[in-house]
Amino acid sequence: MSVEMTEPARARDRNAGQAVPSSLILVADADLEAARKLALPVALCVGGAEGFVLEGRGVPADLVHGAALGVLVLSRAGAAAVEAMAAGWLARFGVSLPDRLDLSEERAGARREAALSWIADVLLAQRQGAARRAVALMRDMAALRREHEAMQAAFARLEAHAFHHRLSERKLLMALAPVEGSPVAELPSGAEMVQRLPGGSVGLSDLAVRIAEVPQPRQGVLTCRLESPDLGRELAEWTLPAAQLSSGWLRLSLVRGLEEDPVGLQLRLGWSGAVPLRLATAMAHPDPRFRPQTGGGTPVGRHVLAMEIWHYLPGVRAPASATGRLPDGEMEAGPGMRRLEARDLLRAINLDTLARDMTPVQGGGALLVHVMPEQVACAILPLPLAGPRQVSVDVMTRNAKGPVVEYAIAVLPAAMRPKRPGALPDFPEEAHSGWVRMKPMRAGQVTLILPDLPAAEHDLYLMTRLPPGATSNAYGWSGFSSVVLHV
Amino acid sequence: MRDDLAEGERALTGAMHLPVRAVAVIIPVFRHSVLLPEAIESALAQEGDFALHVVIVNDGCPHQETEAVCRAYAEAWPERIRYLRKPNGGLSDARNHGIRHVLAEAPEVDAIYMMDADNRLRPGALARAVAELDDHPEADWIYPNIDMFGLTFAGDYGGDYSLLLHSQMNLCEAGSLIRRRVFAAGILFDVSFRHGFEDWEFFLQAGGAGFRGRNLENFGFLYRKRGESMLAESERDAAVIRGEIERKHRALYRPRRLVDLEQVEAPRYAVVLSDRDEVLVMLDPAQGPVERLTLAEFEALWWRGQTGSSRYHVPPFLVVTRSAVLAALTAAGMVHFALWLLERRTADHLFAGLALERGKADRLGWSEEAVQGRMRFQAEMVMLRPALLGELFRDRSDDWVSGLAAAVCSVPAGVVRLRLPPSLVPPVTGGFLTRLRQFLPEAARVAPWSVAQDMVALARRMQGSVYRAAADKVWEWRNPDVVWRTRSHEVARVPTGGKAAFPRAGDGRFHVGFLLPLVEFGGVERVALNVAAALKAAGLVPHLFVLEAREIQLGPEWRDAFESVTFFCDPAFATWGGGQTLYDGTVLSDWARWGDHGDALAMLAWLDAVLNFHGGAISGVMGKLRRFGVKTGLSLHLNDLSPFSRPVGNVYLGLAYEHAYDLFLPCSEQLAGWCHAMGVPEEKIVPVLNAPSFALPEGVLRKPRPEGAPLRVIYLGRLDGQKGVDRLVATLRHARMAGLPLRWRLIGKAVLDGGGALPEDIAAMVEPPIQNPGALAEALAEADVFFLPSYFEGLPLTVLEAMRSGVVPVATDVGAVAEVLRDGENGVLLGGEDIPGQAVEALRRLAEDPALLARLSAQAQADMAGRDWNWAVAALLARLRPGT
Repeated sequence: MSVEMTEPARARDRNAGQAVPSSLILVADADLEAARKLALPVALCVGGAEGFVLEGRGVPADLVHGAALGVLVLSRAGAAAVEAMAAGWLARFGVSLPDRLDLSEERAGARREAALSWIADVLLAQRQGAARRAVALMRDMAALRREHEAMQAAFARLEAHAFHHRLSERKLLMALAPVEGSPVAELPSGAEMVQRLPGGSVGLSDLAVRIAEVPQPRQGVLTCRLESPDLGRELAEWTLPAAQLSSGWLRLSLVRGLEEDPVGLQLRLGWSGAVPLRLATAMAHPDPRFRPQTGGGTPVGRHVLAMEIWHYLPGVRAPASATGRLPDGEMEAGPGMRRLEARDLLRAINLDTLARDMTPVQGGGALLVHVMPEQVACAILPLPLAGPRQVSVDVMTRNAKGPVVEYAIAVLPAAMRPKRPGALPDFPEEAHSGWVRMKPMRAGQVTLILPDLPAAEHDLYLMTRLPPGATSNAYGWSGFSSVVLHV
Repeated sequence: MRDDLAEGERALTGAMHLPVRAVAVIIPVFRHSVLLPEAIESALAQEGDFALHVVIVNDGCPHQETEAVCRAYAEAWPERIRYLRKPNGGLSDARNHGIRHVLAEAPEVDAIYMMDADNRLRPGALARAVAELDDHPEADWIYPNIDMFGLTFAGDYGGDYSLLLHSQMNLCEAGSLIRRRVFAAGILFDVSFRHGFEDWEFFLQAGGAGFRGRNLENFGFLYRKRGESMLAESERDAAVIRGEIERKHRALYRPRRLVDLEQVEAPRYAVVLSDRDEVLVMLDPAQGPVERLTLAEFEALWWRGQTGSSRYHVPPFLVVTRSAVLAALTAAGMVHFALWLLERRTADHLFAGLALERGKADRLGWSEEAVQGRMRFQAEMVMLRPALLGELFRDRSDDWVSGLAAAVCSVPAGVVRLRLPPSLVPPVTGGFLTRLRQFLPEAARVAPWSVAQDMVALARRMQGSVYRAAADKVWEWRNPDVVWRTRSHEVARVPTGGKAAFPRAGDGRFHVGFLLPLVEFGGVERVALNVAAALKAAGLVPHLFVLEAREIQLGPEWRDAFESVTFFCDPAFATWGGGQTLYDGTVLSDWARWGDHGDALAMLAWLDAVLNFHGGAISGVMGKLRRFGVKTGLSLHLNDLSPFSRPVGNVYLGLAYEHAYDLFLPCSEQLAGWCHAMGVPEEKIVPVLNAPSFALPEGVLRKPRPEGAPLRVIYLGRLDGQKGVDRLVATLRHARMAGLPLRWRLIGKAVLDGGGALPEDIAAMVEPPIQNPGALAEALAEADVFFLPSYFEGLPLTVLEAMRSGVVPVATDVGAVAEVLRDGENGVLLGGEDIPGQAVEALRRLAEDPALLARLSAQAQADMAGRDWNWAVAALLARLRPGT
């Protein structure tokens, strides 16, 4: 139990200076003079019922406990006093007094040598103990390092596996779509708006807000910061000139999903431009914490910002969406892949009509480019990124009754997009993948490796045809999915 | 004193608004030698402008490794880390050791953080907590949410701090930043709690001393959760430890205290006034609403509680009514009763309705029935079962709830009908239309206003709320862990077995409950009324509780004397009967011994004192009430007699429960002596001696008997066996036969056993009972003799009233009559055999000797001087409120 100190002892403790040597020897008051004469290289601290005294000043008992090498006894009176000291020490600290060196029977001339030898032994033992502990810790760290390396290697293999399979798709976890009639949230120039994100942080890989209206004139800069109040810091930042903004979803992507350590998140938007930036909102929220707030904490209306949130494996990289913006300063580490998602494919233009009337394959998940008899069926997909070096597209005829279908892809500058319906361009050889023949219900992939393309917008052509001699396109549900761009 | 100290320190700090200058982190360690460095490192890594001291307390750990780690850190960081070693004493003792060290050695430390050796802190945690303390000088500690690692889980403990909820669950992690002033007030960890929940108990000490915490959502505290731990051990012993906590903090767990906390922190009712677009958030109507909201604000509040957070208090009980109804109930002193009864009835019906009906003047009554499938739900107030609200407002259609307003109610609903005196029923209830329909058939097609329509309209509004869409999404990343937030109304129910707590909070006044089985015009009732009036005059607040009757008389003097009226409404309760065991020959009812006392306890536990006026079986709850801190008193009037004239009844019942009563209040010295003889300690016996039960109206003067006129003899009271009606008849007959010059008045109601009737000639003489004090005084002013030939009595009020008016009593020596009536001095005592004969002889003497009559009359009047109820209750008052 705690020992109640006497008031004088407490006062002495209180008045004590905090500086105590890292090593000292305890002596009884009766032995102090004799101990001084030994001229030992260690400070002498007198212990008694009232506390501990070092060089005439009181010192905190707790510090003495940590610094005491041992107890030196040089007389019978000293020995008796040390017994009392030992009892108090045990009651206060729950451990015995450090080892004693009793030189009360030693002849005076040999005392110094004996004391020095004892001090050396104590220090050596302490040093050896510390060394053993350090060795044990280093050994443990080495083992942890080996395990960490193995885990990293396995993780890297897992990432690579995920990259090359459909496992690397970021999942849309929550969509807070704009609600008809809900007000627009205006972000004035020079102002900030903070929106708490719903749900947890673990695995968050992308978030999107919706620009209700492109600011006109298109001047200004939008900064987006992903922050964690729990961590007290920023996790990612995006700086987007107004020229890069368009109405619709603005997707902000992270290179990898947020780590396994769950924290709360908020998105801080800052705008400087000629006119306010108008953001779409979703449903009204009854909890003010989830309403967007100004930088000063004042709620901006009742409605949550329209948002979309994606998740992926925590801490793991996955190809970012081709429409997603990576944070400032982030480089694509490793394979620089970007993915076009299913809904991006629906922006494709039908070559036959030059309209955006393409439909997904029944059941979704792929763009339907239904194979046609006697002509090439083609969808033209504007690429959101310039200069892809390689394009890979998954293909499959999704009906067992369908015909054998040939698939091909090609890339051309957007300026060469056909002006007349049905006018399939002549593709240079290096811009065409060649035709790949697929049986129905067999998954395949068409890849096109491209030369260095000029920095301009390009279109991806997704084409199907019947093999020579085939005439029936019944059940020809030929579809393209999972467009991956290597940048 | 601790409260004062805390308040003073808080006031000082608040007034000076001093920022936190230095923080100490206390890390007790026992057997966590390897994990300890993580805790120390996270403490050292704290960012912020304040100074940081780390105090490691080795609680006598037997592992050498622990000593080595502690010493290493202390040597490496001597200016920041202090290492304390002590004998093993448990976690509380180790924390206290560190706290005492900080208080003694570090006067600059303004706040202390308790850190367990296996936990972590994010680098900005203490800076954020310090900022929260600086921004909220009224907060005494900042506590975190609990984000677990290891076995991952994140618990949200957000929302306003509530001592009420804290009494039921461990709301605040030990890993909180606590202001120095809490410890300076003497609050330390209780070392007897060695098996867990010591942090819970610590904070309850602090809460009980007036300190309050505040949650910080993004504190940054990380709790290491493993399959086995001290906490896991604690959970296994949870029931035992909780019991220890409740025993130590008995005052906190009393129903009164819990309701007081509920009033401030978690008002139970949201009363929608549909005529005002106003929602009153309240518990105790007498203290007014805690908050007034518009319907729009209430709508947002309610849906806020549906978005997955336990941060927000939403009143669990929705009440819909109109302002005039609330006002009427308040004026009738029945608003608490109404809310309480409806709350109880929501256990039986999804919708519990209250209808106000016009009853007879000065009468009050209630009845109830289930209405589903039987009739229209016609009511002026409706309360919903809490569990229904979510289903109702989330319903995609109003089809179901519309059944409440249908011609025949199709939803589970019940209605309590309260019959009030006409003057108290508000016009909005449609009483006019009810009467009109009797005369005009067309009026039958006009449905009177019923709260059902308002309820359906409210449901539609909530179902169509703009916030509905938000409730379908997942917003919080932590789990709502303050599970009692939505059950706040159940906390005050815990001590009473889950029964609805009476919605009455403390207001600084002394509240006394008067328990009566019925309220008509009997002597016991009149005594209760007068005691209540006298206590009220002395500053206490009487409340009337009717235990069994469903209808009572409640004239103006009753409404004046009692601030509120509550019917017990327990069909299982019976004042007498229903038992197989006897105590000294009196049946102890099964209800008293084994019944479900929860509702009775809930009804009465908020009072400062209860006085039982012949409430019979209600004695069974007195022991428990005493443990809740309620003073209990038993008012005693007389022993009843069995058919074989054996004394039985309320007095013997009182003896059986003597241990449960603080006070015995006999109406006479004779009964006081009897109680003492039967084993009631003298100290407990406080006679409240009967006095005349009404004040003499001014202007009513005694009308002396004219010379030569017949002697005017009056009989006032029930004409029944107890009162000696057979002796009365015999005396009348004998007096006639003797030709005595007497003029008789018989005033009262014949209540003959076995359905018998008075002889016709006697019955023709009987006048109806008089309840009006003025008429009573007039009747006595015109009488010379008061005749009372009872077989058994207590100390009859009528004798005292007669004496006060100078009417000479001629009465049998029963009960305590002889205490006031001295034969030949102020009246005539009849005893022994042939009472009618003795009575006739006495009447003859008085008729023939006017001087005797005058002497006895004068003495009787003089003896009653000063005998009133203020005098009668003086000793009781002193015992109820010592020092007043």
